Amino acid sequence: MENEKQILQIEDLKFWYTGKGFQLEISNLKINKGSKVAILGKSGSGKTTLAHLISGILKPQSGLIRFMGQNISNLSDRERRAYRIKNIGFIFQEFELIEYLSVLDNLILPYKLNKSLSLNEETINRAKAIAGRIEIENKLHKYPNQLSGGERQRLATARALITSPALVIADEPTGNLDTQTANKVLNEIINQSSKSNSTLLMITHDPRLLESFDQVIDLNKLTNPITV
Amino acid sequence: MQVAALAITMCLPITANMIVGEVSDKLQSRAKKTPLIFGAKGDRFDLTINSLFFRGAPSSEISMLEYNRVKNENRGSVVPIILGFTAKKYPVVGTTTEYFLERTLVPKSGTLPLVLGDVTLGYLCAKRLSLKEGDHILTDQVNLYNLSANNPVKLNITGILEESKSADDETLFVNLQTSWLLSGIGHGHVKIDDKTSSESILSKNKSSITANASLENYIEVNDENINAFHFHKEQENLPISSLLAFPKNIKDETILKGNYINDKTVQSIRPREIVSELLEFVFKIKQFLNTSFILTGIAASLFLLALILLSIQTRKREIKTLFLIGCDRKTLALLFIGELAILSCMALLVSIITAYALKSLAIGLII
Repeated sequence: MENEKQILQIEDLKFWYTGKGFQLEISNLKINKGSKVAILGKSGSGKTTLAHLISGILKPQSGLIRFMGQNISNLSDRERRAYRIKNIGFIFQEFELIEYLSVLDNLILPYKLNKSLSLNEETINRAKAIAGRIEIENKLHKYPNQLSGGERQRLATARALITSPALVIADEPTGNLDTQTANKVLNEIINQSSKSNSTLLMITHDPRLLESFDQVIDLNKLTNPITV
Repeated sequence: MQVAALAITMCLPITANMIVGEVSDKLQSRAKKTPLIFGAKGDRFDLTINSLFFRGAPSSEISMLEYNRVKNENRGSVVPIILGFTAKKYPVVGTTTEYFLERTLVPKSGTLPLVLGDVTLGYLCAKRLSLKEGDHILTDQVNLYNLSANNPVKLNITGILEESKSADDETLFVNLQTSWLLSGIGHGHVKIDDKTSSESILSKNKSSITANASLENYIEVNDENINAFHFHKEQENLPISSLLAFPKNIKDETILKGNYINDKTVQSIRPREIVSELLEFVFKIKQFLNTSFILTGIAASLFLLALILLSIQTRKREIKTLFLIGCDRKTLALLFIGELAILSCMALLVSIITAYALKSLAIGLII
């Protein structure tokens, strides 16, 4: 019963980069469905590595990563890619919009890049509806450099959520922002992911934002994730 | 910028190959259609190219005496040509009607240049200068700094030739007499007699009256003054640039050529042999160019490779984003290859268009 509540379970995870003297160890970590989780840690503590392990980009040397009950750590490269496309949405620090693609093309980019996701009329209509919700419906044929900072951020968040992923990983999207703007961005991300019923996993090193999260994983205390 | 760099690299070998191909075709086709050329002893390449493509006059001339000599051998058609004059920068070639028969040139409108002062325009001349039958064209001053040179002559356009896709399309044809008129050997002026003003008389005796330079020459030939034109040389001493000979058969060609092998003033040449000799030299240069183009190509490929690596380096974050969004490595590689292919295609297209433009310019300058 408790397992059904959890979207992610990590047990006895060990990962290291060969020859780099870095090792990430997590003995036990559980994340509930729909929760808002912050991964906190100093630079080099393994925040992005953990996000990449969870999203299946990296494969642990040992241990288990269960995503909705399925162990993803023993999947093949192709299976992990399929898992990532189906279940994970990414928001990046500087949004990483593709400047030479239109706003609409950026929004539906995951569909354009993955044959497993079918890009059809319905998808386009959904993208337009999302664009309407984030107030950029009049700018669908413009380019990212013609958008304001806020619009770019909303577009990047919408792109991560367009496939309705179960888990959204946000990699320091507030990294270079002042507190006020960072809170605004965070609220937008939380708001949009809540509307999509997605679990949010946000990497941050900014302790000022932690109030907004249900759970904080402090990588400085690897084996003892703290919960607030 | 990348497209331009690639296009320039590709354009040079494409242009060089196009030019060599077309020059070679044009030279060979014209040479094959002209079995023999006779001209004054001297540069055989100069004589061949000038006689076939009218790019200028050979440095030495022969006379109508030689024309009669060759013609009297009765081994085929012999066509005299007189070069060295231009109108609006197009060559004005003096010849006889046999030329048009041998080259199968027929007027699209009007007639061939039969009368003194008549000119028949090649197809492209007429088109580019927007001239038609009934119009006039003034010949260019032979030498601007030579005050004694003959004045330009206003020629009457009597016909336009059909397109032949050869040098004839860019030529103005006149008869031999008109060419001599252009060279100053012939002229026309008011009759000089006892009634002529003494201001125009240089000397006078019982048998002749000599006019001075103040006597105005006619600058155009018309029905009223045509009879006033005359030549100050015996017909057989009148100059011609070269002779094109079209023998009846190979035997006549061989005999005709052989008869002039040891001639002291005239040389007989087979244009196809001269052109082959010329092309051999051109092909040697082309081989050298091809080698340098291969080296340029290798340099361009390395430059392109460096460009790709630089592009990957600068677009690392974009690649990472695409990868995280779900793009597999194969698709990523295809995206880059696709971009490269589009760049290359655009560069190829630009280089082909540029090559065609350069070729048209260069061909006009070469032949």
